[in-house]
Amino acid sequence: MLSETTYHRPNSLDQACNLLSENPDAILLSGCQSLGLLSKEGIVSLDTIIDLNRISELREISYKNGSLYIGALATHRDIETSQTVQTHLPLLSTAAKQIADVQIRNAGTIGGTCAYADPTADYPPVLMATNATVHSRSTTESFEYSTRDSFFVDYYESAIGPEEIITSITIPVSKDAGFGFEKLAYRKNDRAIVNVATILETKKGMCTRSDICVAGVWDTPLIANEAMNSLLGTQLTDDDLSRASEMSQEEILVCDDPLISVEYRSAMVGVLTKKALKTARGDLS
Amino acid sequence: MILNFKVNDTTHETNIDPSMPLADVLHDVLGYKSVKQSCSTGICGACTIRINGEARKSCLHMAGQAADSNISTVEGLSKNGSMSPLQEAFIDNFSFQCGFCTPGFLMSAAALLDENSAPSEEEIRDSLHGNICRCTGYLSIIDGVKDAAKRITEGGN
Ligand SMILES: Cc1cc2nc3c(=O)[nH]c(=O)nc-3n(C[C@H](O)[C@H](O)[C@H](O)COP(=O)(O)OP(=O)(O)OC[C@H]3O[C@@H](n4cnc5c(N)ncnc54)[C@H](O)[C@@H]3O)c2cc1C
Ligand code: FES
Ligand code: FES
Repeated sequence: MLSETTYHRPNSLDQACNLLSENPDAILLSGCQSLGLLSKEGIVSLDTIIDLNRISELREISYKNGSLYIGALATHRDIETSQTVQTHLPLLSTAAKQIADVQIRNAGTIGGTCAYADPTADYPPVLMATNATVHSRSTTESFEYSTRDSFFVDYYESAIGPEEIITSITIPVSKDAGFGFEKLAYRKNDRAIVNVATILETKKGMCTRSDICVAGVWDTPLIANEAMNSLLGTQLTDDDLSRASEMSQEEILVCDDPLISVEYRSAMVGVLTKKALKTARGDLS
Repeated sequence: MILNFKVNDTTHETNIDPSMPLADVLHDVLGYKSVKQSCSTGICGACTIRINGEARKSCLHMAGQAADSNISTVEGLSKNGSMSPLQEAFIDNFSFQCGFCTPGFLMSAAALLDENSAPSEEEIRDSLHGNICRCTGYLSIIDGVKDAAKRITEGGN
């Protein structure tokens, strides 16, 4: 028989950090909605587990000084139903609602999703479009990662080091912004074939901010820089949005997939960008 | 590791590997045979149980994660030997054929109805989205949940 897993259930973040530094090979456990699969496939070995679920300080959701604070242990369901998130960043609750199903949303967490860095996940394009920051800690140090520049490093690879625990995500929010989120999946709420998050802002009818992030088609989510720049200073007419969507389709890299052609997914990048931009434009007050 | 599981208000002390899937603990170790597994990968919902009232997929929880929480399974739905209105509504609406998926649907529906005793059809569909049935075609299950909501509201139960 294989030896039994050593299982720790710390009550505080300090305890968890100490445990991780004493057991560098330990696996952190949040919702288990991805780890469950990894362990069944034999991809991770569960010699030592540090279960974060009792650290209630990690589950806070709040709004302070123009910034939304989401604790790493906030579940998808917390985020979907939180009045604070719905008020300040409905884009994030919209994305949460499109994750899998109620059972998985009750268990899965935003911290686990960020650490897992699944290229088809639904929060990453939102976090990159909003320019969110991921915060983590080890016993001795605190770290901050810009999702836009440095957090999602590669296919299922985030920037956090082996001794770090993700503690929270902070997101600057603007009350003048309009948001769009589109997801294409085989069946409603399945994993994304393509998903797109967009943010627009205008002053006196002119576009002053545009953010477009596309995921599901490459190893990491990608920012559509040229498409974004093309919108600045325009009046966001249908033509402007169409042109930006075509540019997004041009510039977003699409990798091979055994099931769906590159051409189709690339075309869908254009279609979904346009839809999400239209929603964001309609959402501007 | 010694772990305590509180299932339908009965506490069980076990000595098991804390990384064992909760579905195996409930079915194989503790004998709650209503807890079915089909995919064991979070897709089918057959293993749905409730943890502290919330519908969860027990194949994707580790034993250690669920220990000391309040777990409920179909075995806890009946009271004093009589079935709950939800179970009766499932029977009367032909909400199952082979029945393998039924415990999962019942626990998802029970979680919904405890939170919202007058759900819309959309809310019912949303709460059952994570449960797969290969027999009924779903419509009779949705009818069963609607009927259960009516019985619960009317019966004041
Ligand atoms: C059937 C199914 C469908 C799904 N569909 C979708 C979908 O449509 N969209 C979507 O976005 N997601 C989907 N998911 C994934 C789901 O959202 C998971 O909840 C998420 O990927 C992982 O979060 P978790 O809290 O469950 O993490 P866990 O499974 O507990 O952990 C995942 C990884 O992150 C590490 N980790 C966990 N917490 C931390 C932390 N605080 N700091 C550092 N490392 C940490 C763990 O060690 C592990 O390596 C689906 C999952 C399943 C099973
Ligand atoms: S057995 Fe758990 S979801 Fe299928
Ligand atoms: S009744 Fe047979 S799978 Fe649903």
